Amino acid sequence: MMERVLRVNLTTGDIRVESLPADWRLLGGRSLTARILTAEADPGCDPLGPGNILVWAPGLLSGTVVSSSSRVSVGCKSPLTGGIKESNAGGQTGLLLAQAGYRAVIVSGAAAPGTWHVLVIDGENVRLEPPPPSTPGAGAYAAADELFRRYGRQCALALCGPAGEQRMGIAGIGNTDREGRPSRLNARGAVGAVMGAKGLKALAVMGDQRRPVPAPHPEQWKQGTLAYHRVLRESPVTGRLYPDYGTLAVMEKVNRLGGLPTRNFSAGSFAGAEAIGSVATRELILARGGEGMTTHACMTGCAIRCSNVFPDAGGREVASSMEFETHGLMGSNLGIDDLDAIARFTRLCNDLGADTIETGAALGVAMEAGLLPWGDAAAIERVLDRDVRRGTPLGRIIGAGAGTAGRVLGIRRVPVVKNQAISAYDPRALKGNGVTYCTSPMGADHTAGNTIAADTDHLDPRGKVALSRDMQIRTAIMDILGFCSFARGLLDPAAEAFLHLFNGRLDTRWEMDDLRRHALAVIRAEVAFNRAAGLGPGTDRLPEWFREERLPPHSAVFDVPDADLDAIWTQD
Amino acid sequence: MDAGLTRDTVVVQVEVFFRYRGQPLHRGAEMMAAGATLGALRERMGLTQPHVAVLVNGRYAPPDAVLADGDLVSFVHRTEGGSAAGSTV
Repeated sequence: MMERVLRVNLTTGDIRVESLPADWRLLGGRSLTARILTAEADPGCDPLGPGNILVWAPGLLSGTVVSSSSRVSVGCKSPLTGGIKESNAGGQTGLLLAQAGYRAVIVSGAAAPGTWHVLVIDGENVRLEPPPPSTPGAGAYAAADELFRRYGRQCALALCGPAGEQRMGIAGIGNTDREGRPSRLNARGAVGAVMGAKGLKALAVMGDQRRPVPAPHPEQWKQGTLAYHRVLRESPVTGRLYPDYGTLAVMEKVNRLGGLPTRNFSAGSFAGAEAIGSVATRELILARGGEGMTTHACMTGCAIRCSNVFPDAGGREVASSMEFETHGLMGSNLGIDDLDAIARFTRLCNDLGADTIETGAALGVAMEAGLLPWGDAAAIERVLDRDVRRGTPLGRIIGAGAGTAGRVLGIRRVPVVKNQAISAYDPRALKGNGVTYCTSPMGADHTAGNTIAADTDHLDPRGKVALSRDMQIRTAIMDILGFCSFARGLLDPAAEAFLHLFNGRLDTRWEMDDLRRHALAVIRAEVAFNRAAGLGPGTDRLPEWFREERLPPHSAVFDVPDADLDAIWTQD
Repeated sequence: MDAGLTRDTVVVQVEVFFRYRGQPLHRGAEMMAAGATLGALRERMGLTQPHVAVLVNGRYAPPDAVLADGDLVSFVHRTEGGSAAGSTV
């Protein structure tokens, strides 16, 4: 199968399927979004204007039988950060795009105002169609139902939800999982707002054109596949912990470290943490039974199965999936210690196509300003379901994200870097993650380089720049290959397997250092894009209050020197 | 002072945030000889697996850290994988 690139111009309606350019042969996922944006997008463009480019790029191993490798990168200039963005998601989109032979889908231009399209990818037959009339304005679950009725249940959908249609800063892109839930988001950086600004309601990738992804060295490929899966199965983390507890496995650790965002980052531990933690969530799902599942794969072929399905007291599904970041930003950060409430927030955010991190951080700022009472789940649901969905002035303030909410409401304690909300690890208690927030070209984003697993005193600023740098490079490798970050821990024990997979797929003889150098070059290209977009080194900082305001219980401030932050990408 | 508790011993509070001794979450106290290390406590509790992380009073502590009376020792998941080794790039 020839690998190819799809170009769609929504201003003209022009659609072109091109052969994969020779100099893109070794690029995929994040390395391809970075290459396309740096080559083809004006860093100074209006992120919500027709000059921005929206790119979907499955990872290099996506579409194969390799577990947890079919994630999809979405790239664009972010309306939230004003810089380059790679936002990564699971679900079925990456798998089916890769199996249809596409390394990238590049969407430029913008439809006429008020006009919506569905981009239908049916092998080489690609077309733009108007969406079902009821879907613009509908929630993502109803829109997915309508689109599945039209295109068949085997397709994968990437959806612009109500938040994206309104071009909100909280807007992600919702990808359907194996059962068709629009629950796996390219969440960060307001990529959904870019999709909405282009008038693209959905991508529908048909599932009946599936072909094997090429691997020119079958023996090497087979060797790598077997070795990788053996290590994955035998690792207690990927083989047991993630299937049992999912991302929530880290909750109790972060709380004990004093890094769990609590009441708008005013404290680092939460009295109700255990009530919304990994053990409580798992035990409640098990006790309620019914449609509940403690382990679930968000994409075909994932053996880690970190996702879950949370049921109500009657055993009916409420939401999938309960994730640590949601429990942090929409639980402890808002004074909520009720799992049922967090499940409803999750469902609502999926339906709105909203990033729970940005939404939770904005709500925390609003609570600090007195707009909502701490811990009031009903008030939060009202804001999400009424105000954000309908775009009332309050909904717009929350929907714009934490940075804008803070500016409108006159709040100084606003947890953002480059205007993007900080994840559920307070950088004063987890200083390695603080370095990642500052120095990642993505803005505040733990998925760019999470240091929580390191055996280190996270309160000690020493060594955290090197730690963050290492994790950011490892993460970029995963994002290029299409792996879930939960496979990142296998990079050392299964290094040879990773190389067999890469070399077997691409007919190369790379070593791990080659992969690392490649990943570092991608990060540097992204930083260069940001500099050209006007994001200077002064934006590679946490807000000042993180250096001034002491965080209980460890009385910690962020104290990694600025000069060390500035030097992170300069060394070879 | 409780019977059996002398200057030669310390009592630490322990919490295990995963299934342990048949319970989904375990809390208890462990009496150790004065000067006992965190590594010795891990050995005694059978929690030496590399995927188990340990915090003492909410901070990372190395295996040779000496436990003090009243310490809170938390056994948690060592998840979000990846090594802490320095970059070789």
